[in-house]
Amino acid sequence: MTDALIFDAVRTPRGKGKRSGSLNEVPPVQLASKVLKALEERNNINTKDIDDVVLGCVHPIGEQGADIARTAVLEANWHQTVSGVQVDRFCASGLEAVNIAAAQIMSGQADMSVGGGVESMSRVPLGSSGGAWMADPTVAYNAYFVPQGISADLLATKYNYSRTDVDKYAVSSQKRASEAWKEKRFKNSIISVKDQNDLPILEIDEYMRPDTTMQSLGALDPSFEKMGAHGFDDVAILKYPELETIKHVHHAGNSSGIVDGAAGVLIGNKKMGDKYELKARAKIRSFASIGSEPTIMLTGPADSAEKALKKANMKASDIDLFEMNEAFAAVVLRFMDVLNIDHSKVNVNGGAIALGHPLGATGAIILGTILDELERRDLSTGLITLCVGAGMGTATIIERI
Amino acid sequence: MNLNNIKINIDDDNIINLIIKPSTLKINNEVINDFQKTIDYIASEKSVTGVIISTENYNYNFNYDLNYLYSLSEPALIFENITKLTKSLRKLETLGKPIVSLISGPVSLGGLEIILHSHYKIADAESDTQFIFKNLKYELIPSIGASQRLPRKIGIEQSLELFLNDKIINTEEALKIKLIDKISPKDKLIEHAKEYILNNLIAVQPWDDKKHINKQPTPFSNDNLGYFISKIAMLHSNTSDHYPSVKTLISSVYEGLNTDMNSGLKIEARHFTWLLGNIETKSMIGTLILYNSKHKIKESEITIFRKSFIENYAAEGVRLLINGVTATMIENAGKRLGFELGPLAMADKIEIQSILPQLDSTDASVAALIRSMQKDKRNGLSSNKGFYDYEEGFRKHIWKGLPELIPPAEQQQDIGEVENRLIYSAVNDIFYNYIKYSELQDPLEYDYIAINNIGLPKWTGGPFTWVKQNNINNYIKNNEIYSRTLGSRFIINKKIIEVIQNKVF
Repeated sequence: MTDALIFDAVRTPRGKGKRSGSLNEVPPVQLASKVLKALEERNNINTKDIDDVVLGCVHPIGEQGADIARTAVLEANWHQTVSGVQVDRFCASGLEAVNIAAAQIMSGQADMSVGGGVESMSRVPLGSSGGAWMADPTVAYNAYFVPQGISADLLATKYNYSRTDVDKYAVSSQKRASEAWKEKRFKNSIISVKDQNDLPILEIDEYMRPDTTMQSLGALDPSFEKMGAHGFDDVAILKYPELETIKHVHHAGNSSGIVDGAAGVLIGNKKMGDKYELKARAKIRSFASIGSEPTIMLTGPADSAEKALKKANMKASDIDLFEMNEAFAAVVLRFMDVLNIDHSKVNVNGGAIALGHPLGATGAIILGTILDELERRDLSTGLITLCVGAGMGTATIIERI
Repeated sequence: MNLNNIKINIDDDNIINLIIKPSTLKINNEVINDFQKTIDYIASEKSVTGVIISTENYNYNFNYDLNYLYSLSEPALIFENITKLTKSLRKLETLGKPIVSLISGPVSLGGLEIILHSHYKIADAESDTQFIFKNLKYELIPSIGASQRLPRKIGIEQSLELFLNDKIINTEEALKIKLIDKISPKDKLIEHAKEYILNNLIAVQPWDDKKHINKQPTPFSNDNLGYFISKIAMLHSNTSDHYPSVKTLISSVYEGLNTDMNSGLKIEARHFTWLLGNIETKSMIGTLILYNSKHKIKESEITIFRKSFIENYAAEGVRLLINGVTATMIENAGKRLGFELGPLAMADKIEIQSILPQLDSTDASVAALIRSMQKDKRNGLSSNKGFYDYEEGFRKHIWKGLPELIPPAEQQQDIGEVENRLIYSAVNDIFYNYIKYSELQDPLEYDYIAINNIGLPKWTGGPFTWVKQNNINNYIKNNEIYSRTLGSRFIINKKIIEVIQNKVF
C-alpha cells in the first residue's frame, strides 16, 4: 500500500457564525477557494498534478449546493482537470474528506489530492438542508430521533457528568485556546481571509472568550431544556428507560460555537513529494468510521478511535496527542473516560467550545492543529476524532515522519 | 339515475343534483360501485354545467362498513377497492366543471372526505353543522384523500391539529379556516350553489391549478419543517410505540404533501391499508366500534373491578421493586404501556396503605419496606411523600432513599420484560374478577368495559382480544413461567382459555 503523506494543512480563521460575524460577508465558495489557493501558493505546485479535491460540507444547499468542491476548484482557477466532490458525514465531513483523499493515494488511484471542508454557518444556517432523519415521521419514530443537544444532555445524564464537570471542561478549553493564540501556535496553518483589494477581513479566531469563568458560565441557562420538555426528553427516555429524567447541563458556553470557516489538507505520494521537493510532515497511519446508537448519538468517537487504533496495530497509550472535537463538553469527558486518557493529552490548544465548529470544515482544521502541535512538541503520533450526527464516529491516526 | 345509494337529477340549467341517499352512509362495495356509475355518467354528459352534492338531510355521517373492509382480508384487494373509489371521486373533482357541496348537521370523517372533492362548500347557517374530528387515535386514518386535500386547503399544521386533537368545529370556525366557503340560510343553499356554478363554469382545485401549484404547503417549507420535527417527538412521547394511526396519519401527510394529489392519494391508501391490518388497530376497532355495548355489567361491579385493577397494578409495581427492578424502570414501563400513571405513582395516589392486602406481608422485604415508609410518614400523595416526593401535589422525583431500602439488582431486565409482567398481571386481574362475578357475560362487553371504564390501555382492545391477538399459546406459556416464581396470580382459570378459544373476535 502506498503511504499517504501529508504535505500541508491550512485553514481560515473562524468567524462568528452570525450576521455580525466577520466572515458573514464572504460566500462559502470564496472561503474554500482561498484555502485551495493557499495550498497552491505555499507548496508551489502545478494544479494539473492534483487529482481530486474532496470537501466536507454539511448543508450542501443554496450557495453551498451543486458540488461546492468543484465550484471552489473553478473559482480558485485551478486546472480544469482537477475534479471535485462534496461529502457529508455531518460533523466529521472535513476529516472524512481527508480520509477519502488519503484512500485515493493509498490505493494508488491518485498521486495528489486535497481533503478539506467548508461551512458558512452564518449564510447557510444549521439545519437548512432538512432531512428525512428528523422530519420524516416514519424515520424519526423508528430512529427515536432527538436533536443533538438533547443527545448531549442524555449522554451527560447517563454517564453522570454534572453541570460543574462540563463547565470546568469548557473553562479549560477557553484557557488553552487563548494561550495557544498568545503563543501563536496556530500561525503555521492559518491564512488571513482577504478581499479582492487584498484588504484583510479576518485574521484571528474571533469566537473565543478568554475571560470565561465558572461564574460566568454558571449564569447561562441550559439550551435544550425547553426543547426537551416538548417531547424530546420523553423520546430519549423511551430509548433509555433506565433514566427518570434528562438533566440539561449543556448551554452556549460548554457547547461548540457556531462559526464560519474552511480548511484543506494536501495529501500525496512520495513521487509527488519528490517532484515538488515537499517535506512529508506526516503520514496517515489509519482511519475508520463507525456507527453507534443514534439517540445518544455522540458516543462514536471512542469506538471509531479504537477501530482506527486496531487498524494501525496501536493502543491508545501509543498516541501522543488527541484532538477530540468539542461538540459538547460531555462528549469529550466520555471519550477520555472510555479510552482512559488524561486531559493533558487531549485538545491541548483548546477546541470548538472556545474556537467554534464550522461543521463541514472542523475535521480538517483539527488535523492541521494536531500536526502543528506534534511538530512544536516534537512528538510523533496524533489521533483526530469527531462525534457524528445520527450516531457515528470518524477517526484518523497520523504519524510524523 | 336512481341507484341504491345515490340518485341524480338534472335541472333546467343542466346542473346535476347528486344526492347521496343515506345520510349515515356505510361505504362498502355497492357504494363504491354506485359512485363509479354515477360519476362515469356525469363525465359522459358533456352538456352538464356543474354538480351539487348533497344528502337528504344535508348530513354527512359517513363511515366505512368495517365488516366489508375486513371481509376483503387481502391487502391487495383492500387497496384496489379504495383506489377504485378515490379514482372515481378524483374524476369528478377534475372534470373542470364546478362541484358544490351543501352541508347541514354533523359531518364525520367519511363525510368530510367526500365534501373535500367539491370546489365550493356551503353550510347551512341555522342548523348545528359540525365537522367532527374524533377518535383518530383509536380508529382509522382517512383513505379517500382527506389527509391530502385538507392540508392543501387549510395548511399542514392546522389539519394535523384538527385530526389529532379530537376537534369538533362549527360553521363559523370552518369558514374562518377556509374549510368551507360560505354560510347560507337553509332555504337559500341551492340558490347559492347554482349562483356559484353559473358564475364559475370552469373550476379547478388549488392543488390542480398550475398557477397555484407552487403555493401549495410542503413539509419542508420554513414553518412546517419545525412543526414536523417537534410534532413527531410530541406524538411519539404521547403514544410510546402504540396507537399506530397517529404515526400513520402524520406519515401520510408528510409523504403526500411532498408530491402531487395523484401520488398523495396512493400514499394515503397504502397507509390506510397497512393500518387496517395492524393488530392494535384491529383490536381497538373490534372492541370500540364493532362491539355496540349495551352495558349489561352493573355499575357497582365495574367499580369493584376498577378498584381491584388499580390496587393490583400498584401492587405489581411494588412487587417488581422488591424483585430488584429500579423504580425508574417500573414507572417508565407503566408509561410506555399507556397506563394513566406509573404503578408507584398510582400507589401514592391511592395511598400505599390500600395496597397492603395485595402484598405478601410475610415477605421480609415487603414488611421492611412498608415499615420504613410508614416510619417516615410516606403514605402517598396525601402526605406529599410516598414512592415519590411531591411539591403541592406535583410529582417532583422518585424518592432518593428508595435504592438504599431496596437495592436494585445489578443486572436490570429489559424494559419489555417489565412491561410484560405489568400487562400480564393487569389482564389476569380482570380475568379473575370475570370468573368471580360475571362468568356468563359476553367477553366482548368485558373488553369494552376494561378499556373504557377499568383502565386497561385502549390499544389492547381489552383482555380477551389482547390474548387472542397475541397468540393464546404464548399467553399460557408465559403465565406458567411467571406462576412458578411469582405466585398464584399467574395461574389462569381454564374457563378463560375456553372462552377465548370458543369466541370469535
